[in-house]
Amino acid sequence: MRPQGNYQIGFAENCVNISWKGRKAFDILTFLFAHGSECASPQKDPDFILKSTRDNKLALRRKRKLIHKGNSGNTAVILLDMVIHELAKDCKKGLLFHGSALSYNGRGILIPGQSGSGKTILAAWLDNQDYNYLTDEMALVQPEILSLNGFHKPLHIKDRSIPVIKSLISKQDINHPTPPAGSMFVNKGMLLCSNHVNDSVKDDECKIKIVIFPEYKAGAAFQMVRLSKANAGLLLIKNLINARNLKSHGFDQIADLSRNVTAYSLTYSDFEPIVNELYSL
Amino acid sequence: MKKTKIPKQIAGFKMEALDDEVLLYHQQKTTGVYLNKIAALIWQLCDGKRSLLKIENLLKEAYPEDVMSIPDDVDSAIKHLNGIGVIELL
Repeated sequence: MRPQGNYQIGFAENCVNISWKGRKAFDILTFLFAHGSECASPQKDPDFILKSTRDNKLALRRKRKLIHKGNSGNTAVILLDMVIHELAKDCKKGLLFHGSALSYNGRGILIPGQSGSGKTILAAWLDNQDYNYLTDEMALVQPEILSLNGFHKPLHIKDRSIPVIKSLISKQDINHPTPPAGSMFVNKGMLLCSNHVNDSVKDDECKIKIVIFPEYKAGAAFQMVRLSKANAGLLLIKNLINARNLKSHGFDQIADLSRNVTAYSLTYSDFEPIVNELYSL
Repeated sequence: MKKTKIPKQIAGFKMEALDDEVLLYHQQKTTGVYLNKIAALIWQLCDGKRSLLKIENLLKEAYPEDVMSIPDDVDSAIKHLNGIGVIELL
Protein backbone atom coordinates (compact mmCIF):
# COMPACT_ATOMS: atom_id res chain seq x y z
CA MET A 1 0.00 0.00 0.00
CA ARG A 2 1.36 3.39 -0.99
CA PRO A 3 1.95 5.98 1.74
CA GLN A 4 -0.49 8.85 1.85
CA GLY A 5 -1.46 11.76 4.04
CA ASN A 6 -2.21 15.44 4.27
CA TYR A 7 0.23 18.31 4.21
CA GLN A 8 -0.78 21.62 5.74
CA ILE A 9 0.97 24.83 4.75
CA GLY A 10 0.33 28.04 6.63
CA PHE A 11 1.17 31.67 6.09
CA ALA A 12 -0.44 35.03 6.83
CA GLU A 13 -3.17 33.36 8.87
CA ASN A 14 -4.22 31.31 5.87
CA CYS A 15 -3.84 27.62 5.29
CA VAL A 16 -3.52 25.29 2.31
CA ASN A 17 -4.21 21.60 2.65
CA ILE A 18 -2.60 19.21 0.16
CA SER A 19 -3.62 15.59 0.10
CA TRP A 20 -0.71 13.46 -1.11
CA LYS A 21 -0.26 9.89 -2.17
CA GLY A 22 3.04 8.13 -2.89
CA ARG A 23 6.58 8.68 -1.73
CA LYS A 24 7.49 10.97 -4.60
CA ALA A 25 4.60 13.31 -3.82
CA PHE A 26 5.61 13.47 -0.16
CA ASP A 27 9.26 14.14 -1.06
CA ILE A 28 8.29 17.10 -3.24
CA LEU A 29 6.09 18.59 -0.53
CA THR A 30 8.86 18.19 2.02
CA PHE A 31 11.35 19.77 -0.34
CA LEU A 32 9.11 22.75 -1.00
CA PHE A 33 7.49 23.39 2.34
CA ALA A 34 9.40 21.66 5.15
CA HIS A 35 10.66 24.95 6.55
CA GLY A 36 7.34 26.74 6.27
CA SER A 37 4.99 27.84 9.00
CA GLU A 38 2.35 25.64 10.52
CA CYS A 39 -1.34 26.29 10.03
CA ALA A 40 -3.12 28.24 12.72
CA SER A 41 -6.38 26.49 11.88
CA PRO A 42 -5.81 23.42 9.71
CA GLN A 43 -8.29 22.72 6.92
CA LYS A 44 -10.14 19.45 6.66
CA ASP A 45 -10.83 19.43 2.92
CA PRO A 46 -7.83 19.37 0.61
CA ASP A 47 -7.26 22.34 -1.70
CA PHE A 48 -4.99 20.23 -3.90
CA ILE A 49 -4.27 16.56 -4.46
CA LEU A 50 -0.76 15.47 -5.39
CA LYS A 51 -0.22 11.85 -6.42
CA SER A 52 2.74 9.84 -7.64
CA THR A 53 1.68 8.06 -10.83
CA ARG A 54 2.61 4.60 -12.08
CA ASP A 55 4.74 6.10 -14.84
CA ASN A 56 6.92 7.82 -12.21
CA LYS A 57 5.37 11.26 -12.66
CA LEU A 58 3.29 13.49 -10.47
CA ALA A 59 -0.33 14.43 -11.00
CA LEU A 60 -1.61 17.62 -9.47
CA ARG A 61 -5.35 18.12 -9.05
CA ARG A 62 -7.46 20.89 -7.69
CA LYS A 63 -10.48 19.20 -6.20
CA ARG A 64 -10.90 16.53 -8.90
CA LYS A 65 -9.76 18.51 -11.90
CA LEU A 66 -6.34 17.57 -13.26
CA ILE A 67 -4.18 20.68 -13.44
CA HIS A 68 -0.86 19.20 -14.39
CA LYS A 69 0.91 15.92 -14.89
CA GLY A 70 4.67 15.87 -15.32
CA ASN A 71 8.08 15.49 -13.77
CA SER A 72 8.95 16.63 -10.25
CA GLY A 73 10.57 19.93 -11.23
CA ASN A 74 7.78 21.35 -13.32
CA THR A 75 5.10 20.09 -10.96
CA ALA A 76 6.94 21.70 -8.06
CA VAL A 77 6.94 25.12 -9.73
CA ILE A 78 3.26 24.92 -10.65
CA LEU A 79 2.31 23.75 -7.17
CA LEU A 80 4.36 26.51 -5.58
CA ASP A 81 2.64 29.18 -7.67
CA MET A 82 -0.79 27.83 -6.81
CA VAL A 83 -0.08 27.54 -3.09
CA ILE A 84 1.31 31.07 -3.00
CA HIS A 85 -1.75 32.39 -4.81
CA GLU A 86 -4.04 30.50 -2.44
CA LEU A 87 -2.28 31.82 0.67
CA ALA A 88 -2.18 35.40 -0.61
CA LYS A 89 -5.64 35.86 -2.09
CA ASP A 90 -7.53 36.28 1.18
CA CYS A 91 -4.81 37.93 3.24
CA LYS A 92 -6.42 40.86 5.02
CA LYS A 93 -4.12 41.37 7.96
CA GLY A 94 -0.93 43.19 7.15
CA LEU A 95 0.88 44.23 4.00
CA LEU A 96 1.82 41.36 1.73
CA PHE A 97 4.65 42.20 -0.64
CA HIS A 98 6.07 40.50 -3.68
CA GLY A 99 9.69 40.33 -2.67
CA SER A 100 12.55 38.67 -0.85
CA ALA A 101 13.21 39.08 2.85
CA LEU A 102 16.07 38.28 5.17
CA SER A 103 17.04 39.07 8.72
CA TYR A 104 20.25 39.81 10.49
CA ASN A 105 20.32 39.85 14.28
CA GLY A 106 16.59 40.46 14.32
CA ARG A 107 16.83 43.33 11.83
CA GLY A 108 14.67 42.70 8.81
CA ILE A 109 15.49 43.55 5.24
CA LEU A 110 12.69 43.61 2.70
CA ILE A 111 13.68 43.42 -0.97
CA PRO A 112 10.54 44.07 -3.02
CA GLY A 113 10.69 43.52 -6.73
CA GLN A 114 8.99 42.08 -9.75
CA SER A 115 10.29 39.04 -11.57
CA GLY A 116 13.68 39.75 -13.11
CA SER A 117 14.63 42.53 -10.69
CA GLY A 118 17.39 40.47 -9.08
CA LYS A 119 15.69 40.04 -5.71
CA THR A 120 16.20 36.28 -5.60
CA ILE A 121 19.91 36.20 -6.43
CA LEU A 122 20.46 38.99 -3.94
CA ALA A 123 18.64 36.93 -1.31
CA ALA A 124 20.71 33.85 -2.23
CA TRP A 125 23.91 35.83 -1.85
CA LEU A 126 22.96 37.39 1.46
CA ASP A 127 21.82 33.99 2.71
CA ASN A 128 25.31 32.76 1.99
CA GLN A 129 26.63 35.52 4.24
CA ASP A 130 25.38 35.79 7.80
CA TYR A 131 21.82 36.72 6.85
CA ASN A 132 18.89 34.45 7.57
CA TYR A 133 16.73 33.75 4.57
CA LEU A 134 13.00 34.28 5.03
CA THR A 135 11.62 34.24 1.49
CA ASP A 136 12.30 35.09 -2.13
CA GLU A 137 8.65 35.50 -3.08
CA MET A 138 6.20 36.78 -0.50
CA ALA A 139 6.81 38.79 2.66
CA LEU A 140 4.29 39.91 5.25
CA VAL A 141 4.71 43.15 7.18
CA GLN A 142 2.54 44.20 10.10
CA PRO A 143 3.07 47.98 10.04
CA GLU A 144 1.75 48.51 13.58
CA ILE A 145 4.52 46.43 15.12
CA LEU A 146 6.88 46.45 12.12
CA SER A 147 7.17 42.68 12.10
CA LEU A 148 8.52 40.98 8.99
CA ASN A 149 7.76 37.38 8.06
CA GLY A 150 8.45 35.45 4.90
CA PHE A 151 6.82 32.54 3.13
CA HIS A 152 9.73 30.15 3.37
CA LYS A 153 10.34 28.18 0.19
CA PRO A 154 13.35 27.15 -1.90
CA LEU A 155 14.93 29.98 -3.84
CA HIS A 156 13.75 29.96 -7.44
CA ILE A 157 16.80 30.76 -9.53
CA LYS A 158 16.07 31.40 -13.20
CA ASP A 159 18.36 30.01 -15.90
CA ARG A 160 19.77 33.42 -16.74
CA SER A 161 20.69 33.96 -13.07
CA ILE A 162 22.41 30.65 -12.42
CA PRO A 163 25.80 31.86 -13.76
CA VAL A 164 25.60 34.87 -11.43
CA ILE A 165 25.42 32.73 -8.30
CA LYS A 166 27.33 29.74 -9.61
CA SER A 167 29.99 30.17 -6.97
CA LEU A 168 27.38 29.63 -4.26
CA ILE A 169 26.13 26.44 -5.82
CA SER A 170 29.66 25.09 -6.27
CA LYS A 171 30.44 25.89 -2.67
CA GLN A 172 27.32 24.07 -1.61
CA ASP A 173 28.37 20.99 -3.56
CA ILE A 174 31.74 20.99 -1.83
CA ASN A 175 30.18 21.29 1.59
CA HIS A 176 27.46 18.78 0.86
CA PRO A 177 28.83 15.95 -1.25
CA THR A 178 25.39 14.41 -1.46
CA PRO A 179 23.18 17.33 -2.50
CA PRO A 180 19.77 15.58 -2.68
CA ALA A 181 17.22 17.74 -0.93
CA GLY A 182 19.24 20.84 -1.65
CA SER A 183 18.35 21.60 -5.22
CA MET A 184 16.14 20.60 -8.08
CA PHE A 185 16.23 21.51 -11.73
CA VAL A 186 12.99 22.87 -13.07
CA ASN A 187 11.87 24.27 -16.39
CA LYS A 188 14.11 27.29 -17.12
CA GLY A 189 15.87 27.30 -13.77
CA MET A 190 16.38 25.59 -10.46
CA LEU A 191 14.99 25.49 -6.96
CA LEU A 192 17.63 25.82 -4.30
CA CYS A 193 17.03 25.24 -0.60
CA SER A 194 18.29 28.16 1.39
CA ASN A 195 19.59 26.19 4.33
CA HIS A 196 21.63 24.25 1.82
CA VAL A 197 23.41 27.37 0.72
CA ASN A 198 24.13 28.20 4.29
CA ASP A 199 23.03 26.22 7.33
CA SER A 200 21.76 29.28 9.11
CA VAL A 201 19.56 29.28 12.13
CA LYS A 202 16.04 30.16 11.15
CA ASP A 203 14.94 33.52 12.36
CA ASP A 204 11.44 33.92 11.06
CA GLU A 205 10.31 36.87 13.06
CA CYS A 206 12.09 40.15 13.05
CA LYS A 207 11.52 43.88 12.83
CA ILE A 208 11.71 45.47 9.43
CA LYS A 209 14.41 48.14 9.29
CA ILE A 210 15.59 48.38 5.71
CA VAL A 211 13.88 48.19 2.34
CA ILE A 212 15.94 47.72 -0.80
CA PHE A 213 14.50 48.03 -4.30
CA PRO A 214 16.97 46.10 -6.45
CA GLU A 215 17.85 46.21 -10.10
CA TYR A 216 20.39 43.71 -11.32
CA LYS A 217 22.18 44.90 -14.47
CA ALA A 218 25.09 42.90 -15.83
CA GLY A 219 28.18 45.08 -15.85
CA ALA A 220 26.52 48.01 -14.08
CA ALA A 221 28.40 50.03 -11.51
CA PHE A 222 27.28 49.57 -7.91
CA GLN A 223 24.88 52.28 -6.86
CA MET A 224 22.89 52.41 -3.64
CA VAL A 225 20.83 55.56 -3.21
CA ARG A 226 18.74 56.45 -0.22
CA LEU A 227 15.13 57.14 -1.17
CA SER A 228 12.79 59.72 0.26
CA LYS A 229 9.85 58.36 2.23
CA ALA A 230 7.38 59.35 -0.50
CA ASN A 231 9.47 57.66 -3.18
CA ALA A 232 9.73 54.52 -1.06
CA GLY A 233 5.99 54.59 -0.48
CA LEU A 234 5.25 54.70 -4.19
CA LEU A 235 7.55 51.73 -4.88
CA LEU A 236 6.01 49.79 -1.99
CA ILE A 237 2.54 50.36 -3.45
CA LYS A 238 3.70 48.85 -6.73
CA ASN A 239 4.84 45.66 -5.00
CA LEU A 240 1.86 45.19 -2.69
CA ILE A 241 0.06 41.92 -3.42
CA ASN A 242 -3.03 42.15 -1.24
CA ALA A 243 -4.06 45.78 -1.80
CA ARG A 244 -7.59 44.82 -2.83
CA ASN A 245 -8.21 43.13 0.54
CA LEU A 246 -7.22 46.20 2.56
CA LYS A 247 -9.01 49.39 3.54
CA SER A 248 -7.98 52.17 1.11
CA HIS A 249 -5.82 49.52 -0.58
CA GLY A 250 -3.45 49.70 2.37
CA PHE A 251 -2.41 53.26 1.50
CA ASP A 252 -2.37 54.52 5.10
CA GLN A 253 -0.36 51.50 6.24
CA ILE A 254 2.09 51.94 3.38
CA ALA A 255 2.61 55.55 4.43
CA ASP A 256 3.19 54.48 8.03
CA LEU A 257 5.66 51.85 6.94
CA SER A 258 7.50 54.37 4.75
CA ARG A 259 7.90 56.63 7.76
CA ASN A 260 9.47 53.86 9.81
CA VAL A 261 11.99 52.24 7.50
CA THR A 262 15.05 53.36 5.62
CA ALA A 263 14.73 52.66 1.91
CA TYR A 264 17.28 52.43 -0.87
CA SER A 265 17.34 51.81 -4.57
CA LEU A 266 20.11 49.47 -5.56
CA THR A 267 21.70 48.93 -8.95
CA TYR A 268 24.25 46.15 -8.93
CA SER A 269 26.16 43.56 -10.88
CA ASP A 270 28.46 42.44 -8.09
CA PHE A 271 27.61 41.40 -4.53
CA GLU A 272 30.63 42.38 -2.46
CA PRO A 273 29.85 46.12 -2.33
CA ILE A 274 26.31 45.36 -1.18
CA VAL A 275 27.44 43.24 1.73
CA ASN A 276 29.92 45.89 2.83
CA GLU A 277 27.29 48.60 2.51
CA LEU A 278 24.70 46.61 4.47
CA TYR A 279 27.09 45.85 7.30
CA SER A 280 27.71 49.57 7.65
CA LEU A 281 24.01 50.40 8.04
CA MET B 1 -0.16 78.81 -20.22
CA LYS B 2 -2.74 81.47 -19.39
CA LYS B 3 -2.42 82.67 -15.84
CA THR B 4 -6.18 83.06 -15.56
CA LYS B 5 -6.57 79.27 -15.68
CA ILE B 6 -7.80 77.71 -12.45
CA PRO B 7 -6.23 74.38 -11.51
CA LYS B 8 -8.36 71.94 -9.56
CA GLN B 9 -7.36 68.68 -7.90
CA ILE B 10 -8.92 65.61 -9.48
CA ALA B 11 -11.27 64.06 -6.94
CA GLY B 12 -10.57 60.72 -5.34
CA PHE B 13 -6.92 61.02 -4.41
CA LYS B 14 -5.88 60.26 -0.86
CA MET B 15 -2.86 62.20 0.30
CA GLU B 16 -0.07 61.43 2.75
CA ALA B 17 2.55 64.06 3.48
CA LEU B 18 5.91 62.39 4.00
CA ASP B 19 8.50 64.90 5.14
CA ASP B 20 8.08 67.72 2.62
CA GLU B 21 6.96 65.46 -0.19
CA VAL B 22 3.60 63.92 -0.95
CA LEU B 23 2.31 60.49 -1.85
CA LEU B 24 -1.08 60.30 -3.55
CA TYR B 25 -3.24 57.28 -4.19
CA HIS B 26 -6.43 56.96 -6.20
CA GLN B 27 -8.29 53.85 -5.13
CA GLN B 28 -10.61 53.55 -8.13
CA LYS B 29 -7.78 54.05 -10.60
CA THR B 30 -5.34 52.06 -8.40
CA THR B 31 -2.78 54.72 -9.16
CA GLY B 32 -0.03 55.94 -6.87
CA VAL B 33 1.72 59.24 -7.51
CA TYR B 34 4.87 60.73 -6.03
CA LEU B 35 5.17 64.52 -5.78
CA ASN B 36 8.41 66.26 -4.89
CA LYS B 37 8.50 69.27 -2.60
CA ILE B 38 7.57 71.89 -5.19
CA ALA B 39 4.91 69.81 -6.92
CA ALA B 40 3.43 68.85 -3.54
CA LEU B 41 3.20 72.47 -2.46
CA ILE B 42 1.55 73.59 -5.67
CA TRP B 43 -0.82 70.63 -5.76
CA GLN B 44 -2.09 71.57 -2.32
CA LEU B 45 -2.85 75.07 -3.59
CA CYS B 46 -4.95 73.77 -6.48
CA ASP B 47 -8.32 74.20 -4.80
CA GLY B 48 -10.41 74.95 -7.91
CA LYS B 49 -10.76 78.59 -6.86
CA ARG B 50 -7.29 80.10 -7.16
CA SER B 51 -5.97 81.07 -10.59
CA LEU B 52 -2.38 80.33 -11.62
CA LEU B 53 -1.62 84.00 -11.08
CA LYS B 54 -2.99 83.84 -7.55
CA ILE B 55 -0.91 80.75 -6.80
CA GLU B 56 2.19 82.46 -8.15
CA ASN B 57 1.58 85.50 -5.98
CA LEU B 58 0.98 83.39 -2.88
CA LEU B 59 4.28 81.61 -3.42
CA LYS B 60 6.12 84.88 -4.07
CA GLU B 61 4.86 86.17 -0.73
CA ALA B 62 5.89 82.99 1.06
CA TYR B 63 9.26 82.66 -0.68
CA PRO B 64 10.45 86.19 -1.57
CA GLU B 65 13.97 84.93 -2.19
CA ASP B 66 12.68 82.82 -5.09
CA VAL B 67 10.55 85.47 -6.80
CA MET B 68 12.40 85.15 -10.10
CA SER B 69 12.09 81.40 -10.45
CA ILE B 70 8.55 80.95 -9.13
CA PRO B 71 6.67 81.63 -12.43
CA ASP B 72 8.69 78.94 -14.22
CA ASP B 73 8.39 76.55 -11.28
CA VAL B 74 4.61 76.98 -11.19
CA ASP B 75 4.32 76.62 -14.96
CA SER B 76 6.34 73.40 -15.12
CA ALA B 77 4.71 71.94 -12.00
CA ILE B 78 1.21 72.62 -13.31
CA LYS B 79 2.08 71.04 -16.65
CA HIS B 80 3.48 68.02 -14.80
CA LEU B 81 0.50 67.68 -12.46
CA ASN B 82 -1.90 68.02 -15.39
CA GLY B 83 0.10 65.50 -17.39
CA ILE B 84 0.00 62.84 -14.70
CA GLY B 85 -3.71 63.39 -14.16
CA VAL B 86 -3.87 64.72 -10.63
CA ILE B 87 -5.31 68.14 -11.57
CA GLU B 88 -7.52 69.59 -14.26
CA LEU B 89 -7.44 73.15 -15.58
CA LEU B 90 -10.70 75.08 -15.51
